[in-house]
Amino acid sequence: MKAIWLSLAIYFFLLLLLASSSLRILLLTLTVIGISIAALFLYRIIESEVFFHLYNFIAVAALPVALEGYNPYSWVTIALAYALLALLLLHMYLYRFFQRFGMIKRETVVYVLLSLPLSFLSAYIFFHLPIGYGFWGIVGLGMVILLLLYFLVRPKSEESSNTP
Amino acid sequence: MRTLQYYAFIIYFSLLILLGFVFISPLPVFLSIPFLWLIVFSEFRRKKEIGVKREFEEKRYVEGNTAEFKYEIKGEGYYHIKDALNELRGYCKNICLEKKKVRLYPFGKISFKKMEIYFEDFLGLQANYLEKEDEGELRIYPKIEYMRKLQIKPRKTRTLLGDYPSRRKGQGLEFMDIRDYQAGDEMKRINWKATARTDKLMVNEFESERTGDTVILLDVRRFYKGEEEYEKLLNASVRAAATIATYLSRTRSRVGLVVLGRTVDWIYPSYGKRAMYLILDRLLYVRSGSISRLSFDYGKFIVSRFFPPNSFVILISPLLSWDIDDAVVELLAKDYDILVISPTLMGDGENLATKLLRIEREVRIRRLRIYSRVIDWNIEYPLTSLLKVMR
Repeated sequence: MKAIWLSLAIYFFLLLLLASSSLRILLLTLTVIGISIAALFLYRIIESEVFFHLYNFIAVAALPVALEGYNPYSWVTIALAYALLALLLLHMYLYRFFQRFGMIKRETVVYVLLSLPLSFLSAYIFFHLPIGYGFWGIVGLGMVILLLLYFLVRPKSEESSNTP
Repeated sequence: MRTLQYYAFIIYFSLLILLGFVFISPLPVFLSIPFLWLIVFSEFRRKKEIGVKREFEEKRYVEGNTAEFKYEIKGEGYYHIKDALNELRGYCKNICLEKKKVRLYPFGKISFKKMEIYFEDFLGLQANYLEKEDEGELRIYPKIEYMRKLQIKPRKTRTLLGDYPSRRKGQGLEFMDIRDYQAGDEMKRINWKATARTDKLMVNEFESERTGDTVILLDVRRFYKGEEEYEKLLNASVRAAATIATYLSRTRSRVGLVVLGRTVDWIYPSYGKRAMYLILDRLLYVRSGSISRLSFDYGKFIVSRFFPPNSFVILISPLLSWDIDDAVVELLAKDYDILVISPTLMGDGENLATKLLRIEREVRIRRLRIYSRVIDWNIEYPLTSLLKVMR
């Protein structure tokens, strides 16, 4: 159980460490982390899953804020961002599964961690096969995202049944 | 069915892309990709049917016993299964067998009516929920103290042959008197020592053993809010009633029950094991509920209306209500024989309310002792130890 909170604490600590290059970024990061911790306390009181995702999302949002002073196109920055995200994802999964089912399988952790190198690879492909940064490039990307979202949130068809 | 986490990840993904556009930075967009990958992993995983079969031995249990439940779980992913008694959590690949041993406490009846089965995939993004009708029941009887022979007996008996020594002479085991031999007396009854002493034939006379009617009047009305103390008193009262009912069912006397709780309930007197199971089954439903507004007069009315005079009334009550004394006197006037068993928890409460309650109860016991037999029972000790010395 200690690993759950340890991963979150390390995540916040590393964020502050990375943001320490500039006072403005450090203060901004501190503010976002503060909001996330406030949402976490709210979640501990109310125990609604919505607040669980709220404080985690704010924690994710703190990542681009902390890395504002770094070159976002650098592979090192992206790798650093994914490494930090891995910590937060671990916290999310460990907490959720231990709380609900009292355990977490290795398979779950493997798939969660696997999503990060795959994302890194996706970013690599994006850089090498650019769709363009002009107006039509943005419109095209927006349409792809909208199609993807539609595909993912579409209502599921009822499964066929042999019963009359 | 998709979980809240699924929609949260979709929102994470969308908001991070939006953040990327707003702040003209590719980093939030890159951060959104892992969430998309997780959703894709979850979408392309094959779903399997879910189901649960449960087995347990449906028999009569006594509180404190252990029952073993076997669950056959079908499905893939993390599961959370809940029925009337158990809650199971874990992970299952295809078909899993789970065994769970449960210590049954406290007494009562558990009816299995509904089972909730919840399965979540390995990433917590897809779920499957099934609520199915369940069947089966568990009867957990109150713990019964074993009594070989109870010293208390009714002062008045009925005409039928039974186990209680009556004031009449007749066939029995308890010696009563010696008289002159009369024609027709059995040879085995001749008292040879008395015959030698008096120089004429003398025979022994015995007490006739007759049956009696016994009513267990269980007063479990709740007057105060102390949940834990009340629960202890109630459990002790029910266990005492079950112990006495079980003992009496072994004798040849009729046993009945009146329960005075939030409402009045009663069981007509009957004989043997039937009476025992009727009473034990009724005791399963005795539960602590809200505060009772019922007067003791209802109990008095039921006893005098449905149970014959001369019955032996065993009143089990913590004696917390003011109306008990008069009702007991009235029952005595109507020719009922009364034994009061008053369970109490000699707590350390030294506040004014506790002191007042204790004093009131002591006064009530002192007054009741004038008319009837009273057992002041500290529930931390077994009831049988008191009943053994009671006459």
